[in-house]
Amino acid sequence: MWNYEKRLQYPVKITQTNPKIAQIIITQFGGPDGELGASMRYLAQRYTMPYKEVTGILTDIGTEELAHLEMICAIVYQLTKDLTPEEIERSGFAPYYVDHTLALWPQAASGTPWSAVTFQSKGDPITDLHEDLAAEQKARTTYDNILRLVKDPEVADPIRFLRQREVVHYQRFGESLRIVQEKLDSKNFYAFNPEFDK
Amino acid sequence: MNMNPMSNNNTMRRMNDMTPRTGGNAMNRRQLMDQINQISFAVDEVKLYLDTHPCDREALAYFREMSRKRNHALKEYAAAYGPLTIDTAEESCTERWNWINEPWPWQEGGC
Repeated sequence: MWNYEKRLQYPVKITQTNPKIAQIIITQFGGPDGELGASMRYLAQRYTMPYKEVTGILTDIGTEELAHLEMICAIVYQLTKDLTPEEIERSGFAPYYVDHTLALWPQAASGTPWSAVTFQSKGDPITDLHEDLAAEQKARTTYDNILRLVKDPEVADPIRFLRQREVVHYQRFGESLRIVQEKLDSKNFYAFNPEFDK
Repeated sequence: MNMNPMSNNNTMRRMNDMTPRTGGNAMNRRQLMDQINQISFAVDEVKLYLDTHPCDREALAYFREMSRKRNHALKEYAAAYGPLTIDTAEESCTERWNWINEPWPWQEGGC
């Protein structure tokens, strides 16, 4: 179960709206390498993970990703708050607005809806941890791409925090993979799947 | 712990008062929230580290210290400005349900 904590993991205080950049940043809510997919990936993978350290890391990183999703939503919300119809038209925000007004909805920057197809839960710890390591790097690249387009320091600051967390999570997943490999057959990591072969 | 929600300073709590009523360490709302964010981040970070290094005694000691400070600060915040967690909601119990009174974290003045 989860308890809500009424604060953001890192503060988001944006005073200037910018619907153009909001449409790009929303990809980290519902895009292929976004925080929603990240959280669902780790929280889905943990049930069959046989090693307690790794079950712990999947649970705790999966939970932190929910806090990141909330930060992204706060950024998009503040970037699109109180827009006028004229601002919506001028900034190219109209296609989003017509379907969602100023509400948050998980989609990629391209408009593609969020989909579970963007991640795997394969039931093999080596496979899943490689997926998780790749996911953290893909999210890091996305944040680097966003940072090249963002000029407002009030937006760049929380995005930099999120980027840094991808690097830390990558480190922890690397340690998790090492822990898994230490428990497997050192002559052949693929001799059996500890999530299936007992 | 305050057993009677109607008895102490909590009933005199004012929504926009920038000075916490707890003692003389006059930390304003903004500073206390910043402190909670920083301590909580330390807890988040060392928690992940401990998942993959469960026997690191230095990290365990750091976790203990930060976790204690965090719980203390969350209680202090709840008593002065309203609860951030359901487990500290009791600290700010008045005749109203304060969980919904304060701004949500994405709103102005909320984080």
